[in-house]
Amino acid sequence: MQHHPFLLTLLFSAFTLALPAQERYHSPDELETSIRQLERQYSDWLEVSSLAKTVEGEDIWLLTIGSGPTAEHPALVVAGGVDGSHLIGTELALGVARELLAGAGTDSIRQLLATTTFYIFPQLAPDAAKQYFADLRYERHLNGRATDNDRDGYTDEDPYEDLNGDGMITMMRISDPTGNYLPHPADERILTKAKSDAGTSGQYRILTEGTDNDHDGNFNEDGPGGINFNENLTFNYEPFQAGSGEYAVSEPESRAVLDFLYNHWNIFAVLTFGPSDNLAAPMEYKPSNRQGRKISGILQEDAGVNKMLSELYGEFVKPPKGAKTTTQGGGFMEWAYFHFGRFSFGTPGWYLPTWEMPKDSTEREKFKPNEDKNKEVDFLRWAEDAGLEEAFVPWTAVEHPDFPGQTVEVGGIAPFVMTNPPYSEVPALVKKHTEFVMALAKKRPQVELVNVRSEKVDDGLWRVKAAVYNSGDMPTTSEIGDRVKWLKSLRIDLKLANGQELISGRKVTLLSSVAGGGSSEMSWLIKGNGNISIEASAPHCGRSEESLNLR
Amino acid sequence: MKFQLYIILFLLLGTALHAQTPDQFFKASGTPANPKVDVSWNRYNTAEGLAEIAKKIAAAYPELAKLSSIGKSYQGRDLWCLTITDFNSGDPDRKPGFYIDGNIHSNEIQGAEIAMYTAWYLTESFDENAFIKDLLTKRIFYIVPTINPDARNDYMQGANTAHSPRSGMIPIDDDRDGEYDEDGYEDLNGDGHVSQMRRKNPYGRWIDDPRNPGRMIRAENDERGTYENLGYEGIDNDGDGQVNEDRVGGYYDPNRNWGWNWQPEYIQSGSHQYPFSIPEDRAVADFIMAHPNIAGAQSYHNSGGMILRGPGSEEDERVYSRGDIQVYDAIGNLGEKIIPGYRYLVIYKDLYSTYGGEIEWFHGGRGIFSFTNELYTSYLMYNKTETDAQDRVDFSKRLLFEDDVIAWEPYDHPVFGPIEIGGTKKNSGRADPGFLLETDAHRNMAFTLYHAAQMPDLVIEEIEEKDLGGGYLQVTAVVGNLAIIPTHSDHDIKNKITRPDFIKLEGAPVVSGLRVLDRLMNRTEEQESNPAQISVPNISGMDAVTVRWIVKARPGADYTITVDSMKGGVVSRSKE
Repeated sequence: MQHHPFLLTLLFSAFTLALPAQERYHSPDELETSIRQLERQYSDWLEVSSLAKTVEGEDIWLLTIGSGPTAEHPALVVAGGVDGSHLIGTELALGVARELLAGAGTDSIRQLLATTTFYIFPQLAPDAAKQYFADLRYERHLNGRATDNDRDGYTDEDPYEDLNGDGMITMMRISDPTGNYLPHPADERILTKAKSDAGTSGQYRILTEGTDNDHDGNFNEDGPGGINFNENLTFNYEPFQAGSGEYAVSEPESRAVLDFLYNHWNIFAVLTFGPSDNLAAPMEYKPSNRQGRKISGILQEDAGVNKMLSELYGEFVKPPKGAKTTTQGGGFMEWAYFHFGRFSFGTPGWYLPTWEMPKDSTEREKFKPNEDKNKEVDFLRWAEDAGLEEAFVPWTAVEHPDFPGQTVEVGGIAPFVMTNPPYSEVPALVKKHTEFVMALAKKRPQVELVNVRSEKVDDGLWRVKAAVYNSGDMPTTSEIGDRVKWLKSLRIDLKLANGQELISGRKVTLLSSVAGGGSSEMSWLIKGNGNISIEASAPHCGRSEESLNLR
Repeated sequence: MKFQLYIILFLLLGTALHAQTPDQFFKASGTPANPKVDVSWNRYNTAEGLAEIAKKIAAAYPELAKLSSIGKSYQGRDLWCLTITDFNSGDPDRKPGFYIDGNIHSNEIQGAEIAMYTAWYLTESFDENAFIKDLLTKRIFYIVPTINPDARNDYMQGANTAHSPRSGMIPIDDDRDGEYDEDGYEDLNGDGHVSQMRRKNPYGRWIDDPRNPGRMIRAENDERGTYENLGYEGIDNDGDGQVNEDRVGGYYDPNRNWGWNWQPEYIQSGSHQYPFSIPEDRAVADFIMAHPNIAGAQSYHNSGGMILRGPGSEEDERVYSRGDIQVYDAIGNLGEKIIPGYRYLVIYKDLYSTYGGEIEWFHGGRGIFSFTNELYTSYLMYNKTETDAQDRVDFSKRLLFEDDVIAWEPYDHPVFGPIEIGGTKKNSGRADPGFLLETDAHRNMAFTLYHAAQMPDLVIEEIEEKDLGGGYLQVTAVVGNLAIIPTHSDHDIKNKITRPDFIKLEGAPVVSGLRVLDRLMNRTEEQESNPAQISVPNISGMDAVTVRWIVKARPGADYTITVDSMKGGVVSRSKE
């Protein structure tokens, strides 16, 4: 029976509507429930495993999506939740998984899953992510390992305190003539740095909400945790920073993820929904990216691939104009390219919307001009238009033990709202990103043997030729991948029949890379009649086999 | 109970089998004359042989030595650690610790014997030598003779040259063809060594050395040769037209896999996947992390007669401050005197650039003063610096009686046809010859024990009281360090690797705590929080810090002052 894709989509949509709709971000517990539900529903296409437990006992979930021998198909890694405060990354990774599974019955997705595997990590920093759902909500990046963040000999001794009792950590402003901050002219709720050359002087000191528990003059510098997954990997790793750990890849979750990836040679690319971004604007090649053996920026060939994927991303998601490449020391997206040698792409998935002054002049008068384009001012204006409640916590005076006799107010922009969209936007973002993921997967390298032919040189002496063709748009191997040990070469094997002899050419040929749409010509001289077969394969670009009868 | 009985039986048996009795010995100075554990220090031991010696030492000296496994190798062997200290004095876990390992490169075998010699020497000398007794009273040694037992055995028992394998036994697909270690060496003539293959060929560029028959030298530029050099013994196992191209363990380097300035393959060959992705290195790293009392470390390699310090790369010059280098120089320069023929050098300047090395992590990652010694040097042949090829031939002839030589013998090779196999054995060149091993072991140990003795040695030098009146007493304490090494290297202070030293006053109510910056000028700095326990960033070598408390007490009150330093240990003094 021929399924009608549209009908199926319609049927599926009806089905999803019947389920209680997710109305807020998934906590690690809810994530597990959702994953288990998918596992029951789509066991033909989904395998669920936990790669590790974090210090706080949270699972690092891996969803393997595909059909047939998934380990033998080229694979795309999709990672979310690399930073504990980036909740949208988890929703996108999980959402992509759900959409692929839900559509597994349709021709296009079924075919994709039969040839391409998806390794999906929805949440790589679960310890930190839990803080959004905790009684005390704040943007946490660190896992649950007890560490001495300020390296003073005491562990976790100076956490935040919720002084205004609203269940969130925001900022404190302390009236103080020595402070450097003053209200922003366009929106007095927002504080901005005073500029002595512009003749303004500060009125406030600003600090994060809490007390100086250890009386060292620093506020809230050593709260619970820990290590930031996205600062603990090896590229541009910086030791001894709060959150970076004592050495790179120090945590059970980081080791487990890297061990898994290093053991899966079939991975051709990695897509990370996280703080790093090379899709809104691609990484650019400069000759100084290479200095001697050191590589500090993208290589020339790979920059072309990045540009192609960035343009592809722009077709599905419209990042704001002027968005810049963002990278981070110790980050996952960066590691996947520079040290794992795979094509690696990253996007936050959601961009802070831009806010434009109304065209209507009477409308305009309601707003004071935001001359320095302060992001927070624009954000609050957008939030109000979008009906976003609780984006701002009004400044409220509190009694503060560290500032007796001074006016201390707690307030400011609520945590998470500037990096994570209102949940109502999530379904549309998931849809766009699923389309992008599918389009990306279709650009993957695929090796094919074409123009396989024989020429009779003389009686019982044959010249065999074949072209190793890459039918994908991405090269078989990134330029950087050819410099690491962790990608296999494209291997061409010639198998002869009994009694045949190879006069010229090699039984095994290793090719480093074939460009997207490119090919490499092979030639052998063979003595003796009979069946020969040629196989071209690499775990990350598939396999192709052709036979010829020489007679 | 059963165990004790076993020991007694073992000792009795040992004595009975001994051909000699103690009254037949006369002690040579500096060496235990009548050891409980008899070890021959003129031969090498397999991983199992080393484990056996370690077990005997731990059984013979239960109050001084404890044996534990710090983890498993790739093939599942235990990485044995001998913890050596006087367990009856102080809190062993809080004494300044000294870590020693050997054999990180599997073919660099003698480091294990030298580390084991140290364990043996310390335990056997404790009762009869005041310096050793003092050392084990104040310090704790962690000695892991081999951190590469798998490939150590492969080197000794498998088909290898003096240079193979250097790594461990994790299979690596060097040529990225999807197959692992598929074309290694073969010991074709079955003599236990992989030596050279040569074939008669008038276009070969080698001839027999007329002065030293059996030894090949290059023909003169205008001279016809006799032999073609076919490289090390082996065949083309996988039929790809290359001989020995994907060998066991090749190539990764356990000494490029550490967590300081780790770099990927294209910058640092052999670095493997990420810091401590190699199980043996991970076990050591976990051990070091769990023992923040370790203040000094020594790693034994071969060869060349070098005492090396970091940095491993030029960009890490900043990691070794002038002050830290002064400490290294004080110990390293003495090392050159203690071990004649050894030179004190800097890895990146004098050897080559490396990233992710072990001692660079000890220093950069953990603030531990550390050296690598490259054991054995051609100097030791004739105690002279300049030696040439003829010296080596003569040394083999006059002192080893050519025990290291394999005479050329014909062999019928499946690919090359009639050839000859011969050359040198794998135990020559890098490993100390037997008669030099104990000497090299003792001198290197002496250098390391000097280093260990120079770890922080803290003392509460002085406690001064001054009655301030009104019920307040001012207590001033001077805490000294009687050794060269500070409680924190400059690099450690800069990055706050090790927590500050705590100096605390207990037993009387403290109202204020002060760090005294200049005692004569009465310049002080108050510590507002937790004044009873003053944090000081460092106690420098051969120097002192002064702290002060204002205590609500009268003169003559009882209290205790304790210095609690991660790398300097714990010292208390009571005022009664």
